[in-house]
Amino acid sequence: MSTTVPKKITLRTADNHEFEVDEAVAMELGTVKTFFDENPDATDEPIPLPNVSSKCLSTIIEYCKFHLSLRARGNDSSSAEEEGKVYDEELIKTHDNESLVELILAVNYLNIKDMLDTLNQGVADRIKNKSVEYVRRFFGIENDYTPEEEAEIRAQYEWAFEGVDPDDD
Amino acid sequence: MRGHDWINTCLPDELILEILRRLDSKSSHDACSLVCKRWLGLERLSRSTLRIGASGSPDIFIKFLAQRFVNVKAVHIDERLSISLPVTAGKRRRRDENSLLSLKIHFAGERNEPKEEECEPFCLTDSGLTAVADGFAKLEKLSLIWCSNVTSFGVMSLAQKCSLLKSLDLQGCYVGDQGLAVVGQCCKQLEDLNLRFCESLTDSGLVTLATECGKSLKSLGVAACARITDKSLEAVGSHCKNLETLSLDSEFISNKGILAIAQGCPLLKVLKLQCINVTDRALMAVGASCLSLEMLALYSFQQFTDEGLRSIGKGCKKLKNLTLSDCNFLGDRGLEAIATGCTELTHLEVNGCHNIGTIGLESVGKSCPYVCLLLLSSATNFLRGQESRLWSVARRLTELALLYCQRVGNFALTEVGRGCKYLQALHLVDCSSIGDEAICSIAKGCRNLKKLHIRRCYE
Repeated sequence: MSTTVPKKITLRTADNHEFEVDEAVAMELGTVKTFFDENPDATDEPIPLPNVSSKCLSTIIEYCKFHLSLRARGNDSSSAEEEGKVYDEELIKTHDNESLVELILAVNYLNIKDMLDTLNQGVADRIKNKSVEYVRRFFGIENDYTPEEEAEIRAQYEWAFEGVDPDDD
Repeated sequence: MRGHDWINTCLPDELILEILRRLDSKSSHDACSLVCKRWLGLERLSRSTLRIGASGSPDIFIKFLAQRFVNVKAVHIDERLSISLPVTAGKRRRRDENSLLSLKIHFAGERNEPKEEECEPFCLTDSGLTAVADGFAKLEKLSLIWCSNVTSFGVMSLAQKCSLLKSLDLQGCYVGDQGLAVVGQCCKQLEDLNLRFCESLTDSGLVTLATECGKSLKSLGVAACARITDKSLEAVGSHCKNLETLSLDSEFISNKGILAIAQGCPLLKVLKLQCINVTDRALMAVGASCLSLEMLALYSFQQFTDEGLRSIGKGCKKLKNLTLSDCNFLGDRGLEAIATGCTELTHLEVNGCHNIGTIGLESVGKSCPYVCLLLLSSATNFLRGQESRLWSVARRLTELALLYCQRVGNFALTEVGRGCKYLQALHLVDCSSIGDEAICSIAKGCRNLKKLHIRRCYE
């Protein structure tokens, strides 16, 4: 057997937990990859991730591992794609708004494009085709319009935007 | 309440924008802009497309929209879409300010009320188009459908300001040569141009355009333009090397024009022709030169014969989509040649071609394993024989439409039920020989059927 032991990289979260991951997994995190690209002779010191909690990081690492393994399977793309979709849906389902937002922030900081897309889409799906009141209640957003302002905007939208449709491009 | 407002305290503008961009309906966008002031601002930045119907006074309306949605890249204006209009915006708004409660009732009432006054539907004018140009500098895609008051002048000011334009649809506009020439001079990235029903255009405009921005052009549509002739097509053939899609509907185009296109545009993928003066010679040139052709649609040709189709079958190996409509001199041999030559065929539509019958169809069944959509209409000679093998061969068929096929009987449909396991949609219109027995067999065999549409099948 001539396989080399995969290189490990240690990540340290905001709440001081250390995660040891395979190099390939760590390279999925854009921010970590950039760090190594810019410092090719970096030591084995743990990499501090001051904006990421251990709860988020473990979810993120799991996500990266899963999608790495899917990509490694390669050729039977349709079933892999399907599995990926199921995984992503499950990921969204198991997070409430608060933890989803926290996760988005962490993923944005770590610069993992695919995962960010998935999470953003997940939030968008929760807002889609819902009434204003529902969206406010759902996210606990305070209505900062005065009744007059709100009526004004509603009126504009009612007459002006009739027949105006955004595309989904 | 679910407590703390996490979204607004944590997420920066760009992440909220990302989320808002992923909403896919207008009502969702509207709802989000009403959630709070911050979302209103962001939502306005996030809109990239506007669709506008005949809006009463579109000129003012566009100025109003342009102030709000600065990032819009695509605008569709369609004068054919009429909407129920409030009498005047001003009057309406004053009433709305009273209170939220009365507002809802008011809206609910207003929708069902007949219009109080019939206001003259005003059309988009050149000044409105200038407002589009001024307001949406980043515009990449513009459709002006049947905006009959728009002239060359408006199109010129548009072209001068929106030089990033990639797609321009002027269907049914009275735009002249001058306007089109300026589009050619200013919009060097233009890829997609629709000039269908632009009746005032002549060769001079299209020739200038092709010369000026022919390199970028990928798609061109021309219909009912009496003064666009072979001369324009020759210019397109010599300048538009990258043309991929061409749709022509004209009595004034002859073989010469199509030959120029076939020789000049080797990348052509989609060709739709309704030109009564074009003959087999043109089709043979297409078969010889346009080897990337994926879609071919021939409408109302009285001069094409199997000879033409044979050269398509010989040359266009990538053909996936074929429509033959009212071409009475095409027969089984032609379809056979297509079937044996173009084995990647997935969509086949045969409409009222009385000389194409069961033999042609069977050869498609034999040679083209990927056919998934089949539409047969007014085909009196189809399926006369009871042993049509198409159904058992075309296993991947997902959609089947039989319109006005009086001779298709229970037997053929029973075979469909047995053979086409993946069938998802079945449309039967005016097929009077089909009865309950056939439908039962479909129900048993086609487990994936999602859509079944039956009209005027009296048995």
